[in-house]
Amino acid sequence: MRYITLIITFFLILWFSIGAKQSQAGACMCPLESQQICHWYRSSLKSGYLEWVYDCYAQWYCPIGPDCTGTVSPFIVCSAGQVACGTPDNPSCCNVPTSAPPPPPPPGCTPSCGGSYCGSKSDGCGGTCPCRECNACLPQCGQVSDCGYCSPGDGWGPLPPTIITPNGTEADPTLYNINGASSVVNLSWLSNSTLTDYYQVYVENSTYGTVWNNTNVVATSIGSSGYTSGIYHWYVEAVNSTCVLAAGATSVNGYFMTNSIPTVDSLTLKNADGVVVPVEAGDQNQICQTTFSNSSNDRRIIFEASVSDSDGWADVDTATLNWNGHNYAMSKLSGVGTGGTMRAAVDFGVGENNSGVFPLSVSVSDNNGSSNNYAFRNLKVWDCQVSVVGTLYDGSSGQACNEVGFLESVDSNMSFSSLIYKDISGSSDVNMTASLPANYGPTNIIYGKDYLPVFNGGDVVNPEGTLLGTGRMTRLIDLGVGTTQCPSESQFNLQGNISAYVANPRVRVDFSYIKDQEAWFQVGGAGVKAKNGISSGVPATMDSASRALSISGTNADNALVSFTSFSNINGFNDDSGYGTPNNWWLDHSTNDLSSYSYQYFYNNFLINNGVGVTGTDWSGRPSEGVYFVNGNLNIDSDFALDPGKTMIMVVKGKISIAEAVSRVDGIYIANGGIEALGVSANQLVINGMLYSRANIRLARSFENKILNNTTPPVKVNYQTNLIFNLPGNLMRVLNGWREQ
Amino acid sequence: MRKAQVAIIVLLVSAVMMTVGLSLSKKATTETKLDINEELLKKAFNAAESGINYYLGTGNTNYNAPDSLSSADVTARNIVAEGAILDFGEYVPTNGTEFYWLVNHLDNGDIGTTYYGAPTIDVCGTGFTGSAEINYFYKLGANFGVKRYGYNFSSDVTKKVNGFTEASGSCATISTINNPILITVTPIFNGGRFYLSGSGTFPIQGVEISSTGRSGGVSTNVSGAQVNKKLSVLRRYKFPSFMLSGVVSETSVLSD
Repeated sequence: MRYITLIITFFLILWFSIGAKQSQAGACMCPLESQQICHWYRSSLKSGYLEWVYDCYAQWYCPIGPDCTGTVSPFIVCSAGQVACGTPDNPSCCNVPTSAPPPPPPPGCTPSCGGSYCGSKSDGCGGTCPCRECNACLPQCGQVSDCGYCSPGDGWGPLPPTIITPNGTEADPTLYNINGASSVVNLSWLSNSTLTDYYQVYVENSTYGTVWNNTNVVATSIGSSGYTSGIYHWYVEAVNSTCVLAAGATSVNGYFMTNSIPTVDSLTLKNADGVVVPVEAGDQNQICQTTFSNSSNDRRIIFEASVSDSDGWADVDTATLNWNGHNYAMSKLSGVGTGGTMRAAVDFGVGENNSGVFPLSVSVSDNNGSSNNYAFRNLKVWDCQVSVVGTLYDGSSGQACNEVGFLESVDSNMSFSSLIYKDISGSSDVNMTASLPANYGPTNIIYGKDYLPVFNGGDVVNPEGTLLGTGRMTRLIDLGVGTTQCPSESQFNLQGNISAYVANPRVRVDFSYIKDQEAWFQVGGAGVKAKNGISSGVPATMDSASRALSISGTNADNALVSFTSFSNINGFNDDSGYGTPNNWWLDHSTNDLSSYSYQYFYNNFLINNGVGVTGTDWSGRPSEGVYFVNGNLNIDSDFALDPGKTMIMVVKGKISIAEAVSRVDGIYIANGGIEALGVSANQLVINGMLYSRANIRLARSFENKILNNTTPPVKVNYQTNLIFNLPGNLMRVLNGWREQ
Repeated sequence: MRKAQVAIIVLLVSAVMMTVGLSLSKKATTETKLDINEELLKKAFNAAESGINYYLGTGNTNYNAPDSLSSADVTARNIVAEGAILDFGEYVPTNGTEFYWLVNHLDNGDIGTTYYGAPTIDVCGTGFTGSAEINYFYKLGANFGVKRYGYNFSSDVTKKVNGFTEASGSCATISTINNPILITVTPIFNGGRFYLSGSGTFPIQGVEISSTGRSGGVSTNVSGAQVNKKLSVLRRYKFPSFMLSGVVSETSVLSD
């Protein structure tokens, strides 16, 4: 029992001993360092004056803090009049030897120091007057400017600041991601002394070379730069510059590491065959672009990101492509130096179709775990189905994008019966639902495909088929955004004409056709005159150089077109359609008041001059001269005059020109009208003039009415020769009879 | 008394009847004289007309009627320009056509080879205020051709042909390209009087034939006086104006 008591006593003594030691040194196990701090202080009243005393004390501290966390804290502070002594392991304070106190004043002697003075002065009682500054003294650091007592000032160095960030250790430096030398690392600290006027901050690399510094920092933080990837440390010291330049001790070192973040410089989209897909307007792509649709796998998109890292290609770790909430891992391809390519080939399934447009982004990380995310263009993945409707319009009276010729729907005369959108580069032809006589659709076609609309059983060579129209003009209206395009070719692709990026792409594809023109006639080298009306048929389809009723002929200018009323049976009612180059017209009859009849010519030519022969039919005509027919005349064969000859056919009835006739020469005069009707494979050319007291109907058409569009089925070529080749005596006319 | 009354009535009736009878007798005598004069005039007129036809048929200038009761003397004068002006002095009605030849005609009426020689001709209107269609015919080699002109001479917009050239002044200048043959002028809206002015020599445009017919003084002198009647006519070269156009209808020209 006694031994047990002794053992317990021993351990209690040992425990108290250790506890006492710990109460002095705290929990810090680091070696203590001391710092001598000296300063002036006002000690006490002395002979009626406050006396300033210079004193020093020792401050023991642990350079990395008592708890080894780097927090500096004083450990022992000696009282006034003492200085630090002892050892770091056993610090203590020792008294500062002072001079002997002044002897007490003699009895009855009153010390007197008077006013201001400089230097030492006896107080008259054996003592010395305390230091008193005279007015002439220059104020020293910390002193007031007027006469007063000496001030201690602040002429010594401040305590070292406490670093805040970065405050990593050499073994575990704080990580900073930088992006080039301009990247900034913010340094911050706490002040530990009111004596601080500014700070001096230094950043050094691992070989203690200064990388960055600033020796005049007023604030307690500052940004630093100029780093490459590496490990750095920094420290700060406070400076008191009020009286004398006194720098305090430096702070502890804070360690940090800089790391270059990998970057994604660009993102390229390729089709399944590795062909780069061009970016579309608005910095976007969609999976129905022709580059995709024409590839071996129209649902595959290859994404290639160009990635670089200043720390080297090897430092690049992973990359991930993100689109519409889907993440696609990118594989690391070969790289050189600091850059390389990350790639992801994505086969988009039906489930990923979406009517929306979503951004593409790439997140890339390096071996340090630093990552970066970059947003790129938008991408739309959809089913490429576009609803199409349309109408066939009659553009016979003119066509121009985007309204002229698109106002009046065709009627059944156009014979529209079917429409197929032929897939030019594939076999996905689309049969349109026809709504006769003019409309079709809605039917879906595929965006990005080249289509040739083929009508009425036609083919690529004859896309109009049996449609009775020519001059196709196509108009595409984007029903999503409202824009209108008129592609110059019959074959078109919705890409470039229709936006795929609206939620529901829809298109109207209209066609304007020129109906096959009806019968019409044209006069070359002369005019046309009708006492009543003229119904022209000059079509809009004619070349503008000859798109007129009266045009120039050989050695004969075109001339006046006059009438009381005018119309165009083929719809071309433009005022330019009367004549060219002389567009002379008058809606007023200019017919001569004299009306020429069969009898007139019979009397004047045959009776009076004996010129002409009579007959009953076409076969009885002479080869030249004047032929009188006292009845109707059916012209059923061609008739060509020899050069230098002339012919006048004077018919009392009607002259009818058969469909088989393609040429007749001469001047044709009929009381009962002249007509050329029906259809023919050939043009009817009348080299001469026509005159009738009744209607003249030149309503003959080509069998293939398409020819009517560009060629007059009946052409009258004015022939001056026919006049001047007449027998001269026929021109001798008596007039101006006068009776005196 | 009753008899006296009857006698008075008979006398009055007789007086009236006598008066009427004498009056009728006087009128019959006068009308007989007028009928004779008109007959003579008619014969003279017919003789003059026959004289012209006789001249046109035979070229002879002295004509005697077959009944020897009337005769005619015929003279012919060429229609030519007066100096630099070719003016027929006639009014051309609206839509009518005047013909000015620039080449001579042979005796048989065919055109010759003597052409107007100056490079231009002015076609002028005398106070004309309408529009005019002017055709210039020419010969080029063996073929003929036509240049066409249209002028608006009026400032009235209702009297302008669409597309015609606005004339400055009363004349329009025509270039006589190739061998000039003919100029025709067709006034529109208004009729008018026209003439040509040019420094070349205008050919003969035809003849004016005058014939003076005589009757009553040949073998029978009814009233002791001879009756004369003079007729004149122009024989010029013209052709129907519809031949200036390609297609002319007195009603309508149709394509259907």
